[in-house]
Amino acid sequence: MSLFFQGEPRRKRPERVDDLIDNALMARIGQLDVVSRKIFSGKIQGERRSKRRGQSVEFADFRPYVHGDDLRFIDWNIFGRLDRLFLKIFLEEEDLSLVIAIDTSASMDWGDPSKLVFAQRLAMALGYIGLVNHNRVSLAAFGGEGGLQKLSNLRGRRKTAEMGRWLLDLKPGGPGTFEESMKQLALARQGRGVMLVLSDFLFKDGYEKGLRYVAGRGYDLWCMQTLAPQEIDPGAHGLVGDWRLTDMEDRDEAEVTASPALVEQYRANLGAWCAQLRDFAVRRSIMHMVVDTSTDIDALLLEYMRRRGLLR
Amino acid sequence: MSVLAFQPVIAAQLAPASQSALLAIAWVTPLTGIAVASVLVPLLVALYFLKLRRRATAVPSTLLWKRSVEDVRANTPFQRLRPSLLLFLQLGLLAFVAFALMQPRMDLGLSQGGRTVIMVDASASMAATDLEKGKTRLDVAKEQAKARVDQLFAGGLFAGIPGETMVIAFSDSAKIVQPFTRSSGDLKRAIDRIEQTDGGSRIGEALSLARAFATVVNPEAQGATAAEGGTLELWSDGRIADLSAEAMRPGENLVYHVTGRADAANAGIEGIAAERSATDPGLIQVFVTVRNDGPEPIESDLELVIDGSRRSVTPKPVKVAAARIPDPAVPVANGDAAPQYKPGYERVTFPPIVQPRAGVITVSLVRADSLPADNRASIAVSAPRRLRIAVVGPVDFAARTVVAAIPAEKVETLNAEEFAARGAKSDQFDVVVATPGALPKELPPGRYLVLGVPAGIEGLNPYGTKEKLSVRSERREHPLLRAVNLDDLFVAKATAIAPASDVESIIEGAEVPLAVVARRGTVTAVITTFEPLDSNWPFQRGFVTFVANAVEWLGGLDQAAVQEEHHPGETLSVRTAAGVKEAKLSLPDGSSQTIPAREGSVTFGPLVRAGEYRFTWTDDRGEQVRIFAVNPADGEGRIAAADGISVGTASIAGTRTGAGTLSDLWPYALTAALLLLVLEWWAYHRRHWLRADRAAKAAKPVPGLAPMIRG
Repeated sequence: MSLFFQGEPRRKRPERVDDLIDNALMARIGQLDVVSRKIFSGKIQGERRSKRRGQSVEFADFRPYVHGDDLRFIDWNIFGRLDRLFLKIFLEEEDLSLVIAIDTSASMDWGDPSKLVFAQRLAMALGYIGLVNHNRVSLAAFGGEGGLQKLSNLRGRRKTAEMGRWLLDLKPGGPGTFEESMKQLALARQGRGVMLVLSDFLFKDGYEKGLRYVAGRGYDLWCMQTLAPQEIDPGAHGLVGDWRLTDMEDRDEAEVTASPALVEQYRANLGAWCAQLRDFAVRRSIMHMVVDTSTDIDALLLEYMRRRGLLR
Repeated sequence: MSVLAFQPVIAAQLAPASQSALLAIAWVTPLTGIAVASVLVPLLVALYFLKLRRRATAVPSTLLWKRSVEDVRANTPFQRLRPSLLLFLQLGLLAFVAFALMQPRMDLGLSQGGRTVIMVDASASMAATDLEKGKTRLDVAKEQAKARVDQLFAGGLFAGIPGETMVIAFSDSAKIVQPFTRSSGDLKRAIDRIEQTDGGSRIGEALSLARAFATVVNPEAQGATAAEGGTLELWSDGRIADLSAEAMRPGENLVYHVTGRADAANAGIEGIAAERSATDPGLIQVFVTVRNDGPEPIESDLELVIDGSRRSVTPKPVKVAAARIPDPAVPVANGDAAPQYKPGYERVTFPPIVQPRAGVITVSLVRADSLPADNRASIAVSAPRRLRIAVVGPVDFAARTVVAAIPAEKVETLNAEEFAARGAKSDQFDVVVATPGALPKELPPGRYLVLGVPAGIEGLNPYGTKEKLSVRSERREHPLLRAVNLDDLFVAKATAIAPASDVESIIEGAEVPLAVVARRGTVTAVITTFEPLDSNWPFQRGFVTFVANAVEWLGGLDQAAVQEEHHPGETLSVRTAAGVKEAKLSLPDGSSQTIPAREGSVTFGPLVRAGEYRFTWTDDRGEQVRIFAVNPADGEGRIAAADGISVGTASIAGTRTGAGTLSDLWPYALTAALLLLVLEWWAYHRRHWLRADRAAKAAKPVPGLAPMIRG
């Protein structure tokens, strides 16, 4: 087992798009598509008449006219033949909006593999799936150098390189709180779809308000809590003895004597923190997932996320 | 004792006097201290350096860490006590420090450095075998004392340099068995040499000896003596007669090792007397006093043995009442005298026994107890012998008539020349009744009743005459004046003497003595300073009685054994014929020794053991034998060991464990605390050196992280 805290060299940051996603992975995940549990997901047939005028002309069905229906969708030919009002129902091809919000705060740039790198790679893979399936893919980075950064409305496979470069350019550490960033994202919402928040959710001022802004506003929200193995079990990675721990974000210091008892207490507190987030998420129909950054991206996408219903 | 009362032990008294004041501190175990300091101090400093090294690292958030630290801190007092090595070590450390602060002391058998006097009671009661079968108390005391010597000289981590030690054995008198020495071998050999005696217990002489030897005279300070307070270690049963008359001196420390059981019961024969019948001298009657020191009444037969053959047994067992033993637990009411110890007594008279010859009469209690020595008592009786009396010179008719009436083997009347010719042999006559003028200038050895002031006795100092004298005072208790009434005695003329201090005046006239007893070596004389016919005495009954008393007293002086007992501590003396050079003495233990005779007498003493002492010598009449029976000292029958003793006003509790002086335990406690401190530091830092894989093994699944997706 690597002794992260004992000063072992960390891995390099990704420098090229290929570092984020390689061809083999692209080939494997090309068949996947993002699924929204909510009915407005564009490719699922719905019994309910869509209120929106879509671009699609694909006929789906008829149904009797009821008071209040838009007169423009009445099939006048049938009215002429049968003298009854029927409404034509079209499959509205509402494209899926996939928003991937990446926490680029300083705390994410930690761990081996780094949480930020892991988030970049995951965002790249998911974004690629979205692009391949002609979903409207938007990327947002919060907590980083430039505040909230966005790359909106990408569509189509050819935007992959652009997305990759944008991801590679993300620099960790900067102003802005989670709450503020989520508020901005919620206000700038375009369409409906799936929103993934990739973060460690270790916000000293809490994650609740921020999540409330984006939960239930048309997004099928996924909280991917990425944690480095070193913070999940620090004792096993060499955090034993007397340490002066410095918070990467606010430079706050904590002097600890990492005894087995203290490490155990820390793990219990981390577990409680995650459980608290999950409880919060469950109550608001948010999907919550704790991901160890040492997890293989392939397995994560092809097994776990399909099993959880994000991908199919 | 408060902490402030703590004083560092400065063994100044151990330092040789020649060292200067600056160097007066003696380092008893300097190497130990240096070794401990050289190991522990660098270790401790190293641990402190380790403690100061806190490594720095950056973490994503200190949020959970701070919360965890607070949880660990906040939860500890309210959670169940978690078994922590550190906690136990710190508790142990505190316990040792607290232990040290209490300044515990106990006997570790370590020398405290001062002088030690080992005093062993060798009195008769120490012959009791109540402690161990087959071993007397003295044997046990000697073993304990030797073990104590071993302890004192065994050394030890915090022991002082063993001081000089001395051994004194005491009973009636004290004897230095070993003067002060630092040789444990000499001391143990000396303790082995201590012999059992049958004497009493008197500690005064032993204390005086111990103090005399312990006194250090500083030759530089003139006249000033400094008694060095030593430790007196006493092995005894605590039944010491003169304890209350002694007092502890400043600096003295008496440790009383109780030797003997407190519930030891004993009965014995306290006294024995024998008397020949006045009418039939062949018959002898024996009187015995049996004493019981036990808490229960006893019954026992008494057996009378003469010269080894049993002659009489009491027809039924003798009952002796229990001793009255005051219970110290019962409080004494105000104003009441504290109850005194009182043994049970029973007097037994044996029926007259035919014993015309001399012999040793032994009476025994037919009963076993833990002190057999006093279960038998002996007395030596001589053969019935009548006096041989010489009347020398013109003794007046009154005295001569009285002497003639005394039942005697022979009464010879001699003139001065005849006496000068025959009287030189001292054993010719038992008593000589004489007028002063008939006696030679130099009196041959013998006993004399002189009716007038003789010239041959020194210390009488005649200086004239006195007339018309009456009796001013007399020694009524003196055997000579038994039943003698002097109220009507009137002396017309007496020789005035100014007797020396060693001349005993028994009848005192108005200005001068009227009758004296003078002892001059082998000469004993009863002297009246007047001639009987110069007074009205011959016409009074008192004169007859006085002359008879004087003849019997003088004649019976060497037959005291018939009436008297002898005890250890006394001196035996036998009068022999003038030409005898030496006598052989057979001792109770079967050994014999030859004692030279001086001036017609043989002396042996002081006596140590009870039993039969047989003097044998040969003169021109053939072999002469004189037997003395010596019985154990009175008062030794109470063998119940005292739990504590009072020396003067100081009460000293006894110890039964063979323990000695107390040693401070705080150095041990502090050493242990120091070791624990080091151990505690080590354990504290050991947590930081835990191997990571061990920590990984110890990590258990945390519930909140259970649904986590792992690589």
